[in-house]
Amino acid sequence: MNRAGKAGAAVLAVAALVAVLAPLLVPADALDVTRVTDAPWRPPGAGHWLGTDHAGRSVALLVLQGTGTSLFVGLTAAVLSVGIGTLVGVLSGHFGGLAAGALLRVTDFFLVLPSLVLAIALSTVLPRGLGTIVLAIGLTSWPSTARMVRAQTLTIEARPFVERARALGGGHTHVIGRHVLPSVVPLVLVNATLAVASSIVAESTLAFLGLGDPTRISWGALLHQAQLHGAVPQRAWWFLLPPGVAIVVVVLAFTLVGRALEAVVTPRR
Amino acid sequence: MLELRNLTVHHGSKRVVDDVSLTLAPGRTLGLAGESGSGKSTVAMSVLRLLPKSARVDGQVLLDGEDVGTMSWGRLRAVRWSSASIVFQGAMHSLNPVRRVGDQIAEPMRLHGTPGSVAELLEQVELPRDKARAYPHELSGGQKQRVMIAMALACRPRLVVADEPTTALDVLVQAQVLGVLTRLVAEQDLGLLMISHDLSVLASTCTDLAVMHRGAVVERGRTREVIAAPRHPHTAALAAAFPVIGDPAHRWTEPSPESTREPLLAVRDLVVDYGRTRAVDGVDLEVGQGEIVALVGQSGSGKTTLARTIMGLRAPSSGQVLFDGVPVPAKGKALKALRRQVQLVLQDPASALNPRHRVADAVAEGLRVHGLTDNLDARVAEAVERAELRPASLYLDALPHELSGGQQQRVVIAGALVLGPRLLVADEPVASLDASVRGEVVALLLRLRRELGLACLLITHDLGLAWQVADRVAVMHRGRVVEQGPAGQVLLSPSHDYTRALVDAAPTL
Amino acid sequence: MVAVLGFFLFRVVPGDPVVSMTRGRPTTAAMQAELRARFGLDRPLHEQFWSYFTGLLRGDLGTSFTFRRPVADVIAERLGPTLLLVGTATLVAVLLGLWLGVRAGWRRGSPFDRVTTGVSLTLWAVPTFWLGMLLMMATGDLFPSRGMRDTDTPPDFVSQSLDVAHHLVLPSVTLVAVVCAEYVLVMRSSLLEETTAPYLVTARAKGLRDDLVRRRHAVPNAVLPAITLVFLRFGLVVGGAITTETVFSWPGLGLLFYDALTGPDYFLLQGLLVVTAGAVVVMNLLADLLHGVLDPRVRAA
Repeated sequence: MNRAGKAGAAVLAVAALVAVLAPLLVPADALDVTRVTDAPWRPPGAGHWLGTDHAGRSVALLVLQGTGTSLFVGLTAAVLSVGIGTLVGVLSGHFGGLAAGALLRVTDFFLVLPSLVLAIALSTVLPRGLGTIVLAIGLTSWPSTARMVRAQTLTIEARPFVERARALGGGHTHVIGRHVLPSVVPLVLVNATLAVASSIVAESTLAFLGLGDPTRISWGALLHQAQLHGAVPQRAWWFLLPPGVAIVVVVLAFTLVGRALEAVVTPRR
Repeated sequence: MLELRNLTVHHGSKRVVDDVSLTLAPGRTLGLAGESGSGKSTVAMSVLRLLPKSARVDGQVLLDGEDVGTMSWGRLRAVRWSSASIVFQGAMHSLNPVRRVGDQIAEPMRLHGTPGSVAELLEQVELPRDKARAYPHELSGGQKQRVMIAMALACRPRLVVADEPTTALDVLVQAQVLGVLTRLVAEQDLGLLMISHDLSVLASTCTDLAVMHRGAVVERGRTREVIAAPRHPHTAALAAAFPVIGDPAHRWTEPSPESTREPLLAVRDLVVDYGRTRAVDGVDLEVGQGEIVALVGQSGSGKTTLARTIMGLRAPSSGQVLFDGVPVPAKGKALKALRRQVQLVLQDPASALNPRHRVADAVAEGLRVHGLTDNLDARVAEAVERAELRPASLYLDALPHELSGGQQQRVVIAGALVLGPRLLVADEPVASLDASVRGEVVALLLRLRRELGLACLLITHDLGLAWQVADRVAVMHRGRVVEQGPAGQVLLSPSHDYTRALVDAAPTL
Repeated sequence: MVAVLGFFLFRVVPGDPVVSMTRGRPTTAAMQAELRARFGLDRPLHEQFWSYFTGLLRGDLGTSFTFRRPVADVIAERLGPTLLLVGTATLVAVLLGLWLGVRAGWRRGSPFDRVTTGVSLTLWAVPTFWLGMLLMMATGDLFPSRGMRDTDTPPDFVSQSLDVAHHLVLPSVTLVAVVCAEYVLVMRSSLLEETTAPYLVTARAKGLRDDLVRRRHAVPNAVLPAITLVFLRFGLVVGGAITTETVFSWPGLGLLFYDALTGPDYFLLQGLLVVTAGAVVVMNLLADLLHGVLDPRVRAA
C-alpha cells in the first residue's frame, strides 16, 4: 500500500478509536442544552479549546460525540449499498436473458438519477431516524457498484477458464462461487471503502438539510445547527470549521485507503 | 545503414537484450527470429529510441553512421520515420481508432515535409483510394496491416523495421501482406529488418537471418544456410517446430490402432446460428474411437462454434450431435455426465487457468464438480504425472503464473485427463506456445492417444500441425466442411479450391 | 419510469401522505378528511395514479400544498436562476476539469499532477454546503451572499446583469470547486488508460512532438469516455445545486426543494423529483447522441 493509503489508514484508526471512546470522553450532561452553564458563542480559549456553540456547549466535545454517528451511518450505508450492488451486478452479469436485461435497465435508470435527490425524497417520506438515513443512502447509491461488479463479472465470464469450468461440468453455483465471486471480492472491497466516503458526505448533506435524526449528534447535524443559528453572520468560525474539517479528513482518509487498495487490486494503475 | 554495436538493454535489473551486434546494409533484408521474451521487440524499439524511460540502454545504435542514443530530441524527431520507420505488430491497436487512416498516413508526410499523395501510397499496398476516408475499425486485419505499411513508406525511409507484421493474420491474408511488403522492399530498394517468432515467415522474405535467445544473438548467417544446417540447438528447435507438409519425417502419427472404428462422435447436418449469422451451416463429421481428426479453417470459418456445440456449450439450431450413438443432451444431469466423457483443451493455457487457483485445485476442479472426491489427491497427482509434469509434488502448489506456457498447457490437459474422458476437443492447443515447447505438447497428445486410446478433435488453422498428427482432416470454410478425408489425401492432393489455396499459402522453410 | 417512481415514492411509501404532511401540527380528523378529499387521496390507488399520470402528460403536476398554486407554475418560475447557476458552473467545471485532468494525467507523478490530484481528492471530500459557508464567511462583504439581486439596483439591463453576476460569484465558485474535482479525476484516469496505448508509440515513432502526441492522439481518445462520464454524473451537479442554493438563498429549484422538504410539501417535492430526474435522463440521452457524433466507432454501429 502506498504512503497516502497508510496515512489514511492511520487517520481511520484514530477516528474509530474516538468513536468508540467518545461516550467515555464526553460527560453526559456537557451536551445537554438545559444543563450547560457556559456563555454561548465563546471563541476558543481557556476552558473550551474549540469555543462554544449557540447554546454554550463545547464544540470540541460535540465533534467528538458526532464521530460515532457519522462513521456508523457511513459504514452501514456503504455495506447496504455495496451489498445490493454486488448482488445485482453478479446476477445480471452471470445470467443472460430477460430478467437480467430488466435488472440492467433498472440499474441504468437508477444510475443516472440524482442519488441525493432520491435520498432526500426517501428521507422526507419515511419517519426521521438513523435507520431512514442509512436506508436512504444505501438504497440510492448501489447502481455504480452494480455496474462495476457486472462489468467485472462479464470480464471473468468471458475468460477461457470459466469456459473450461463449464466444460468440466460446473453449474451456476460452481462458476459463481469458485470463479466469479473470488475475483469480484477485491474490487467490491475497494468500492466499499470509497462508498463509505461518499456515504459520509451524503449523511452530512442530509443532516444539513434538516433530514437527520434529531436525537443524535453528527457532524452534518452540527453544521445544520450552525447554519440555523447564524454561525456565518456571527463569524463563529470555531463552530463551522471543526465539524467540516472532521468530515473532510475522514472522507479523504477513506478515499485514500480506497485508492491505495485499488492500486493493489488492479496492478498497472 | 543500420548498425547495432554491443546493444544491451536492462528493464530494472533484468537484462532483456544482451550485447547484440548486427549490421544491415542498404537494400538487404535481415530477419530476427526468437520466441516471446527473447528481446527481439526491444531491439526493434531501440532503433528509433522508443523504449520507455525506465529502460537502460548501453551500446550504440547507428543509423547511417549517427548514434541514435546521443541525438538531440529535435534531431531524433527529424530522423524518426524519415530515415527509418516501423511497421508495428498488431495494427489493430497501433492505429488511432478515432482518426481516419488517410489522415494518419498523411500526418508524418506533413510533419517531415515529404511530397506525395496518400492515394498513391494506398495503391502501392493494393488498397482502393477511398479507403483513406475509413476509420481503422472499418478495415479488416489485413487491410489495417497494409495501411501500416503504407504509413511506414510515407516519408520514403531507407530502412523499414517490421515487428511481427503478420502475427494474428490468417494464412491467406498473411501471404498477401508478406507479398506486398517484399515487393515494395525490392522495388524501392529498402533495407528491411523483419522480426518474427515464425521462422517460415522470415525464410520467405529475408536474405539474412539472426536468431535471438534470452536476449542474445545465438546464430547469424544467410537464411538458407542457417535453416538447412542450424549450428545452435535453439535454432534447430525453432526449425523443427515447423513441420513440412508432405515430409514423412514430420509425420509423427502412426496409423490408428483399430481398423474398424466405431464412430465415437458423430455430427449430423448441424446448423448453428449466431443471431442472424449462420456460423455453422450443415456440417457432417465423425470421430472414431482413438482417432485424431483435424478440423482446419481460418478464423471466422465456424470451427470454434462447431467445437462449442459439440461440447454442449451452445445449442444447435438444427441437426444432431451424437456421442456414442446417443444425442448430446441439452442440459441437466445427462449433460453433466457427458462432460466426463468429452473434455476441452483451450488455446491459451494462461487464460484457461484461473490465476488464483493452484495447480492442484485447477486439476481437481472437474473431480469436485462431479463429486468424485474420494482419493482426490492421488488422482490429481496421477493426472499431473500423466501430463508429464514430474514429479507432481513439485507442481501441485504452484500458481499458474509461476509456470511456463508449456507447463500451463500440461496442467490444462491434466485437468481434462483426471475425469477419464474418451474424447478430447482441443482448440488450437499449441498456437500460443513457443516453438520449442510446441513439439513436446504435440508428442504428449499422441502418446495419450496411444496409451489411453483417447480420441481427439483437433481444431487448428495450422496445416502443418494437421500433417503432424491427424489421421483425418476436415477443412472448414464459411460454416461448411468443404473437404474431408485421410490427412495425406487432403493435404497432398486437395480436391477443393479453398484447400488448395490454403496449402499453397502455408509458409514453408 | 420517472413518473412511476415519483408516484410510488410520495404516494405509496408514506402510507397516508396527509398524516405525514401534517405531522407536528394541530389538525383534526375533519381537517385531514377535507385535505384528503381536496387532493383526491380518498380514491383508490390506481385511480389516483391514472389521474396523476394523465395530468403529467398535460404538464399538470398537481397543486402545491404550501404555495396553494399549481406546482408546474412554481417550478417554471424558479427554473431560470437554476439554469443560470448550473449552466455557468458546469461549463466552467467541465472546461477547467478536463484541462487540468489532461495536464495531470499526461505527466503522471509530476509535481503538477500530485498537487492537482491532491487538491481534487480533498475537494471531493468536502461537503458542498460547508464549502459555501466557509467561502461566505471568508470573503465577508466582498460578495453578496444572499439571493440573486439587490432591490435597490437600477432597473437598466447593464446594472441588473452586473448585479446578478456579482451575486453569482460565490454560489458558482462553490459548485465549480466540488464538481470540477470530480471531472479532473475522471479525465485524469481516462487519459492514464490511454498512455500505454500502442498507437501513441506509433505517433512518437512518426516524429511527433510530445504535445502533438497528446493533443492529436491521446486526448481525442481519452475525452470520449470522460465526456460520457461527465454527463452520467450530472446528477451530482443537481445534488450540489440543491445545497448550494440553500446556503446562498439562490432563488432556484434547489432552494425550492429545500423549502418543499421543510414543509414537507409532497406535491411540490414530487413535481421537483419528476422534473430534475427527467432533466438528468434527458442529459444522458444527449450524452449518448454526443458520443455517437464524436466516436466514429459508435457512429458506424
